[in-house]
Amino acid sequence: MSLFSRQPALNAHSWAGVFLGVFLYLLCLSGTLVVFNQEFERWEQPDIQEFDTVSPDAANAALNYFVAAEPGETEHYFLVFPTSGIPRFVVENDTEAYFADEQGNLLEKEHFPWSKMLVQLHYYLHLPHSWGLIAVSTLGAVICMLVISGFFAHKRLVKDAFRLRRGGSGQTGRIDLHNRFGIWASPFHLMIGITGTYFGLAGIVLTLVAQIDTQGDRQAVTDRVFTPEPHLEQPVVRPDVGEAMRQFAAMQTGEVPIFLTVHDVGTPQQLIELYAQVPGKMIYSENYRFDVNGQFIGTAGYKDGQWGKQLLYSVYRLHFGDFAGLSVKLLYFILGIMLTVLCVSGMDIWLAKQGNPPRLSRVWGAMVWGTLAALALSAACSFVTDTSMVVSFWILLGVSIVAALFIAPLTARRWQFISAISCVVLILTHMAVWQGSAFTVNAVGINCLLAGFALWAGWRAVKQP
Amino acid sequence: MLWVDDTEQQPDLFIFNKEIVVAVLTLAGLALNALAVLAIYMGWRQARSAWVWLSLTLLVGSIAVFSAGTVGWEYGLTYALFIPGLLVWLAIAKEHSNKPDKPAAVAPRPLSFAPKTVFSHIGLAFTVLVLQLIFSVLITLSISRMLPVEYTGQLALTVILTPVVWGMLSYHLLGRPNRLKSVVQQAAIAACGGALLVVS
Repeated sequence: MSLFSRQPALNAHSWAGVFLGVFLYLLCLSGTLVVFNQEFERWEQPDIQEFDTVSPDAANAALNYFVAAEPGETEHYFLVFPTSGIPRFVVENDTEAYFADEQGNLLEKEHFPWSKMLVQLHYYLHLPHSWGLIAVSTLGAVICMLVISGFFAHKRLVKDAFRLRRGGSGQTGRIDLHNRFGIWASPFHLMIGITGTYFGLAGIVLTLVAQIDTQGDRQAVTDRVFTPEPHLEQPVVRPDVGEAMRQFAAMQTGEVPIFLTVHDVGTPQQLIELYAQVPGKMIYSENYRFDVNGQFIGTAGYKDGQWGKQLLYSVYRLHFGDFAGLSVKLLYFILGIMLTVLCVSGMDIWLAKQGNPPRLSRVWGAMVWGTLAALALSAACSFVTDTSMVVSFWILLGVSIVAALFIAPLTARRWQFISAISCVVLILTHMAVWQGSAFTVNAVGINCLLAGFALWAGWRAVKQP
Repeated sequence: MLWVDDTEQQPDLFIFNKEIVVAVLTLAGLALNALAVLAIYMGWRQARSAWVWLSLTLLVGSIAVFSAGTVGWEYGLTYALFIPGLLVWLAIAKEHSNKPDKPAAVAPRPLSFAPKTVFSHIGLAFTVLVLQLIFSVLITLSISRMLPVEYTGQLALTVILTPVVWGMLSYHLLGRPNRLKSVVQQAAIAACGGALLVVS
C-alpha cells in the first residue's frame, strides 16, 4: 500500500490528533484568545488614561519619575508608546512597570495577571520556560503533519469540497465540518504550524550552528544574523530619550514608533534603541539607535536587510496577526476558532467511532468546555483576589475533569451550560468591580464578545436533547 | 502621527485621498478574492477545469490589488491566502443539507490501557516529538547549508523548512506498519546530514 493512500494517512492523522489532542486544543484555544491580548490587557485595567501621543519632554519626565520611584539596579528601561497598539504610555524596567499620563506623571502599576497567564499558557503550556517553549514548538510541527496527512486521508477531497451534511447520527456532519475547516483554512494552519515551531526551534538551531561555526559562541552567530549593538564608551548620565524621539521624528520615516529601550543602564555602554513598525512590511520593527545624549548612530537595518534576516524578523507578526490593526486580528481570531474547532471535532469523530465511551466522552467534554469555564472563572478571581492565575486555572480545570470522571450527569452539554454561566459571572464581576470604567469602548467590546459566547453556549446546551 | 513635535506634517487632504485609495483597493482586492472563490465553486459544480484556472487568475489578481492597497506584497499575499477560508463558507452554506436525526448505532468499545499498548504510544510520542526533532534539524540544516544563499538565508530556510520536514518524517513513521524500519531509515539520513555538517 502506498504511503500516500488513504489508510496510512488516516493512521498518522488520527494517532497525532488523538494522542496529542488535549495539548493541541489548549494551544489553539489560548492562541486564538491571545490574538486579542492587547485588548484583554486594557480590559483588565479599564480605568487607565488613554491618549494617542507622547511628547519628548513627557518621555524624559516619565523616565525621571520612574527612576526616582524604582531606584533599584536594572539592565534596561523601556518606554512603551501609545502607538504600540495600546493607547497608553508605559514606563518600565526589567521588573516593574507603571502607566504614565500625557505629562509623564506616573499613574498606577501595570497589573494584568490573567492576560499574562493566558500568554504563558500559549507560549509554554505553563511548563518551565525553556522546556515549555520546545514542547509548544513540537506541537507546531505536529500541526504541519496533521495538515499534510489530512490532505492524503481525504479520499473525496474534490467531490466533497463544498458539502456539509448535517443530521443523521451526526458523524457525517462532524466529518464534513472537520474536513471543510481543514482544507479551506489550510494555508493559515500551515503558517501557524511553521511559525509556531520557530520560537522553540530557533534556540536549538542556534546552539547547533554555534557548535559548528563558532566553537559554541551563540552570540557570535546571533551577531551574524541580526545587527549587533554598537559598542559605546560615554560618560554615565541619565539617557536623553526625549532628544532621541525628536531626532526620530525629524527623520520623517513614516514609521510608527512602538517602544524605546535603554540598554546597559548606568554603564558607559548605555544605548537608546527605538523600535518603529514599518507600514506594509511584516518585520517586527526597524530599530533606530542613539547614544546616551539622544544623538542618532544608525539603524539595525531590518527594513532593507537581506531576505533571510527579514524573514526571521517577520515570524512574530505573521504568527500573532499583529500587523494591520483590528481587521486582521478579527480574521486571525475567526481562523483561530476554526483551528480550535478542528482539534475538537477530530477528537469527537474518533470518540464517535469508538461508540462514545461514556467516561472518556465526559472527560473530553469537561476538557473542552471546562477549559473555557476555568479561564472565565480565573479571570473573575483575578478581579477580586490576588491568587496565582496559573494555580487557579489548573485547579478549576483539574476539578472539572475529576468531576466529569466520576459524576455521570456531567455531560458535554452540561459543561457547555457551565461555561456559559461562567462567562456571565465574569461579565458581572467585571462590571461590579470597574463600574463606570467597564463601559469604555474596549471593555464593552470584550464584554459583548463574552456575552455573545455565553448566549451561544447556553442556547446550544438548552437546545440539545 | 508619531508624537507631538514641530516637524512638518502632511496636508490633511493628501492623507484623506490616500486613505480613500487604500480603502478602494482593499475593497477591490476583497471583490477579486470573492470572485476567485465563486469561480472555484462554479468549477466544482460544473466539473470544468476552466473555472479553476479563472479562479487562480483572480486569486493572483487579488494578491496584486491587495498589495497595492496595503503598500506591500507581504500583507497582500497574507490576505489573499487567508480570506478564502472565510468566504468559502457562503458556498458551503448554499450546499448545506440536512437529514432527519437518528441515534448512533455503534456500541461503546473498551479502550485498551494494557501496559504494552501504553508504552508503545509513549515510545511513539518520544520518537515523534524528540528523535524526529533532531532528525529534521540535521537534515534541513545540512541541505540548507549546501544551497547557494548567504548565511542568514540558510538559517532562515532551516527554521522555516524544519517543521515541514519534521511533519513529513512523522507522517512517514506513523503511516507505515513497520515503524522500526522507518525510524532506522530516518536516523541513517539524519546521520548523513550530521556528517555533512561536521565535514563541510
